[in-house]
Amino acid sequence: MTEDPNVHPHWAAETKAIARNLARLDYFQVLGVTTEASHDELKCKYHQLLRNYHPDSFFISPDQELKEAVKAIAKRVTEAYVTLRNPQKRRQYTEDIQGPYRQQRLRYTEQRESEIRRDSTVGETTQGRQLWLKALAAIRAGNYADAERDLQTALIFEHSNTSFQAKLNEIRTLRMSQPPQQ
Amino acid sequence: MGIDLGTSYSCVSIVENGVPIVIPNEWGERTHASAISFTQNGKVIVGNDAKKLMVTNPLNTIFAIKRLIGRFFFAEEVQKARGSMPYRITEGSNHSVEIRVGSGRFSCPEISALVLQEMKNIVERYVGQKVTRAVITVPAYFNDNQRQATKDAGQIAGLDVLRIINEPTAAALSYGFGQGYHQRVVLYDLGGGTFDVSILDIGDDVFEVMSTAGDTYLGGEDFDDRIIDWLTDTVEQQQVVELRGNPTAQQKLRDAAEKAKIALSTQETVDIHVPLLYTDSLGYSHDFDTTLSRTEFSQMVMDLVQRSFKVCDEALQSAQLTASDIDCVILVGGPTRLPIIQSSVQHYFQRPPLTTIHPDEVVAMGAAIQAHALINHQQATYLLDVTPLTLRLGTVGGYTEKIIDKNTPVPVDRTKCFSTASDNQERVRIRVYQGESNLASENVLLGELEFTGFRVAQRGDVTIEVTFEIDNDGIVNVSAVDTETGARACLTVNLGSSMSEHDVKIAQQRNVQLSSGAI
Repeated sequence: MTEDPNVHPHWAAETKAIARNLARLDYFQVLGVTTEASHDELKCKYHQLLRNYHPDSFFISPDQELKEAVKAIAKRVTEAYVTLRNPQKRRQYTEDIQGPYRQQRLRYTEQRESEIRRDSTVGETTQGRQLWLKALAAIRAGNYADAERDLQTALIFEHSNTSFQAKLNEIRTLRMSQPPQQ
Repeated sequence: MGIDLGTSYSCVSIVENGVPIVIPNEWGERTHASAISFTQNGKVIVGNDAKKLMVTNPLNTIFAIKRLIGRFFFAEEVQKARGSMPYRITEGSNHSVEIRVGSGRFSCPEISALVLQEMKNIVERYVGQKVTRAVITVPAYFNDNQRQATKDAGQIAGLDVLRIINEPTAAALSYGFGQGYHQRVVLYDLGGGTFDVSILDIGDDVFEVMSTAGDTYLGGEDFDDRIIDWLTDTVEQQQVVELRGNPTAQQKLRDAAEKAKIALSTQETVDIHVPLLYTDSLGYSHDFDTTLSRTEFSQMVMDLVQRSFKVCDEALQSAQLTASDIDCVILVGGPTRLPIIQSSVQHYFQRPPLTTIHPDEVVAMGAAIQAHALINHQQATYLLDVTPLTLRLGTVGGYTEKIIDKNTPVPVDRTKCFSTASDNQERVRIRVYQGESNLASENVLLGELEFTGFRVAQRGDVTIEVTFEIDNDGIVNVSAVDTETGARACLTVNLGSSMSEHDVKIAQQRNVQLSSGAI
């Protein structure tokens, strides 16, 4: 491995460690802000981080591993900023990482967005749709028992709705693996 | 060096003592026609001298190749060019575009490489030593195929392409470099063949692109075409002649149209004189004379100008801004000298555009600044650019799903998991597109990729994780791993416009031979 003479070895090692740990961090942790951070705070933090970790600054660096690490950090920092600067996405994301699927939802993607859009249009009857949305809200609040009941009722109105059934199965597995804490 | 590889004209710049300067050729010309003429005696002439041969050698003089680069032969733009260009455009392998010159066949990157090579020669003549490292600019709205083909062209020309950057971004860099601005700026970039709008938030040394929008079918040449059409109609009404199928006459009109357009930037009316345009039934050649006023011209092109503001609307909307949030409007590209453009821009943004920067040279200078910053550790600017088009994945029934949204800052990556659908499946095939439609057919196909070399097992047992990355050049890279074993899947591009390393090598050799006059 060739070291970059322009950076402190300590800083290089630290940067590589940060890059390795990225998969475990949510966007607020990536940017080093609280979930209450204001828009200006986000932007300020984003610019500050990019001044340190801009891939162009390491374009001629001989340390390949460091280059990769810097790029990985820059990409994740940017992704975090772009998601959180949009109020709607930020609300959804914050909800997602506080919910049961935190680990799978640490990154907010276009797929997640279309999933949410699809979720809002599931159901063919008025009652079915209402119960479905109620169940989703209950899941977000962590009331899986309520969600299960709502979905069961929804299935009475639309007994062949596959989305309802799939969500119900999901909830049941979740309840089995995580017994409710009283 | 920084190279602005334009549709009609190119320009090259280097940073000297910390300041970007435009390098003139040996005759003191600072911009060079992106034209290549293959003469009868086997010589290849590039630049303004080649442009002069457009009339006398129309079949073997290639220009506006940027309109064709990185496009498939079946693309609308290519078919349109086949009708209007005097040189021969044919279909090559894998739906590519080929240019025929005599018995020779050239790919678009090979033709562009000749222009790039000329830029390299101009710099080397000026500094007196070999220079290979370059940043090349492309329209912000260029897709992956077009960027990749431009990069290939650079390699064929023997350049070490450090980076492909967007023209409006380069212009912004040149405007704001070292000035300590805190501004929101709009770049209105009308080139010879393409139109881009970018909105940037400049915060001292950070250049953040907020949004970009464009039209790769709108440029100064479309303004010329309006004059050509008008001239052709006028002549054909007065005389019983057929001008549309005559390449020499078309070139003469093209030449006259461009000159008239430029003259109307400073004059109210222009006298158009086309020497020996047509031959009468007795075999006598006649000149053609007419006049065109600024008002008449403005009427001819009003719809083109309006189209550019549709694009501005889109850019502002993406950035969630209105025209009043903008601090400064910068005009880039030769056609922005037209009074109709200047007054319309002023009307749209409710402020006069900045006139202190040079619209033909600012892009090359920005590219030079970026090249300088990349190869010197003391980086003084931080560019944050975006991808102009939504990256999509083909799904069943001719539909697509979004992978990476347009205006997402680059570099960026997204991963998606695919499970095998049948037992003992050996390959997974995906199609990648760029564009804004849910329908696959309305987007540009970047390529069909095939993954092999993962475990063979029962259906659903194998999951491969595919990573889509858009790098700093705006170029898309795809890689895949088997999530269980971590083994990297092999990737084959079945349909795509990019050249293989081997193709590039062969083209490089041909380029060297061409430039030395050996072919």
